[in-house]
Amino acid sequence: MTSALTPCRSILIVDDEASVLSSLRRLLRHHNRDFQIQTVENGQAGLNWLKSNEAALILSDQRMPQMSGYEFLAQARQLQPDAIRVMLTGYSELESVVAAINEGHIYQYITKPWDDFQLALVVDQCLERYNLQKENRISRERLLDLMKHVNWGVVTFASDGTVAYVNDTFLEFLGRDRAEVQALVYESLLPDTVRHELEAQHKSTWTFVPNLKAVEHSFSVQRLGSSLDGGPMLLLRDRTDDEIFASAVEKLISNVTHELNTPLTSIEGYARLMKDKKTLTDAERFDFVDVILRQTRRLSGIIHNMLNLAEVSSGEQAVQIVDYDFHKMLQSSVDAAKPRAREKNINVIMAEETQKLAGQVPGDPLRLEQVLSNLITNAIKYSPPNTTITIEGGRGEQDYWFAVKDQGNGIPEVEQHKIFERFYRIENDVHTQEGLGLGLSLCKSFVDGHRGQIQLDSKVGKGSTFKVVIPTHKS
Amino acid sequence: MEALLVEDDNDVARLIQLYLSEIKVGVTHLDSGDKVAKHLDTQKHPDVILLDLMLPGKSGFEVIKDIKLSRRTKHIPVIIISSRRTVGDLEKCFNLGAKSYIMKPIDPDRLLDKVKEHMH
Repeated sequence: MTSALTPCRSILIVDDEASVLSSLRRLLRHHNRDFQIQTVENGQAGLNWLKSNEAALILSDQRMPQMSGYEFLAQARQLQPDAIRVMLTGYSELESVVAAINEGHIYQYITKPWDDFQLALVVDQCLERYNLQKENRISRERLLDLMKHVNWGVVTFASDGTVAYVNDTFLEFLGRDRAEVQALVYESLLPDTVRHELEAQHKSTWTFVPNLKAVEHSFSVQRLGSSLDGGPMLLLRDRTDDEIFASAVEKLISNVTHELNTPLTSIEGYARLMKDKKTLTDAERFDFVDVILRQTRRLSGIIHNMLNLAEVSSGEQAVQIVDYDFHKMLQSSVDAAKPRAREKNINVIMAEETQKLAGQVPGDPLRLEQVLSNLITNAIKYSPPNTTITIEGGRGEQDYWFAVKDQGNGIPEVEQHKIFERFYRIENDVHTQEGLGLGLSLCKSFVDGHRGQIQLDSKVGKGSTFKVVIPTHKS
Repeated sequence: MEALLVEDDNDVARLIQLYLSEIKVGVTHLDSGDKVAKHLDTQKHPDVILLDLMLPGKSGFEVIKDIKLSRRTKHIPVIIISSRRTVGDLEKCFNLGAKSYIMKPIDPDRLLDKVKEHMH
């Protein structure tokens, strides 16, 4: 494996005399076995070789028929500007050597006849120079490439405070173009408070609404001492997303705490009562155990939902398609929901047409029952007492569907597209109804796993209908 | 002695009622924040109000604010009973005029101690 930074030891030698070529080849091989030596007898052959090969050093005779060494090296320079060019020449041709040096075509010359030791030394120096230059150029390119693509904003200043370098990310953060930013100086770019904080502790936070953007962004700013340009260097990182994430986590923790604590309060409290109360009637005892069991179920439901969600987010969730009894799945979800609905005096029924459904459909009955149960639970949660929740289902040619229709509060139109997001709950209800806001996002994941669709039709004050459509074609 | 309890979870409400019956405190239970103002307008004032924070309708924060803003009710001591436990929540409640803050799950001894403080 060779990387861009592996030293190059390739040497091209051009001389019309075959004896010179072979004696140079022998000499350099002997000096260093790692040298890769290419010999050609005229300038044109040399240029052809350079078109597809890298040379660290080009060694060329001056006096050659057709193309002179001077001409060849001038053209070689166009092809490989970084290659070190050295001319081999007799004393009589010093004039053209001087011209070549002055015009920048060659770096050194060696006079014929040469001293072997001197020649080997010059070759070593030239190769070292070539490789240092190359390393320098690659490092610089890498650095520029990094600064260009990194998602940190980078800006460096000259010693007089003018902008020396600015990367695209920085411009994007500010929402300004390069010319605008380059017209700024250190003092005018940053607000005083940020600048003072940077000078005191090299770190600060800069919050503003970038040009052309609607919302405030928050950047952490780091100031590195002197850049190569003479003035300070600033690094900016956009932490707006981090903050949104942190506040979502905070909200989640607060919701989880509340959700888990409410059933725990009852479980612990009633168990304690049973332990401490000296006289307890059978009815009381039965009642307390009932509360404990009910609240334990609620607790495990919350944990179950959270585990499901963790599975979905870690990609472990797989939907297993089998043929299953559609009507049985619907009936079992409805039956499971009834006790809970009764507590709130809500009637859960299956539409008459739906009762007549028969036969098997493809899908994951466990997941789809979870979806339907979640939808019914939600409907119960958001429905006032003495209302009815209707479960409908049907089969089409290419799909089948089921729907949950409630007579609840309905969902405002602006909220409708957000409700399938994780942890979303209708804003006003965040602190009221139980739930983590996980249910609907889970439903959506399961339905997505079937390549199906979940649709919402809702009007505030009239109620909501959630409809799930599952395709039957197998792909 | 009479307490007004505002708590949306019926099991928790009944639990608190059972605890308080041990020290002969009668409890009137409301399950939403919206019902508090009307109750205080029309019924005999309680000796103490036990208030949950996360409630349907008006939140506990709003309820205590209303109680403390009204000249007729601001003297009634309010004890918060909540599972919220950030310093910010506690500070906010005390700034709004709460007397005590009891965390859920409820320690019954602490609950009874705090209620007894307001018994005459």
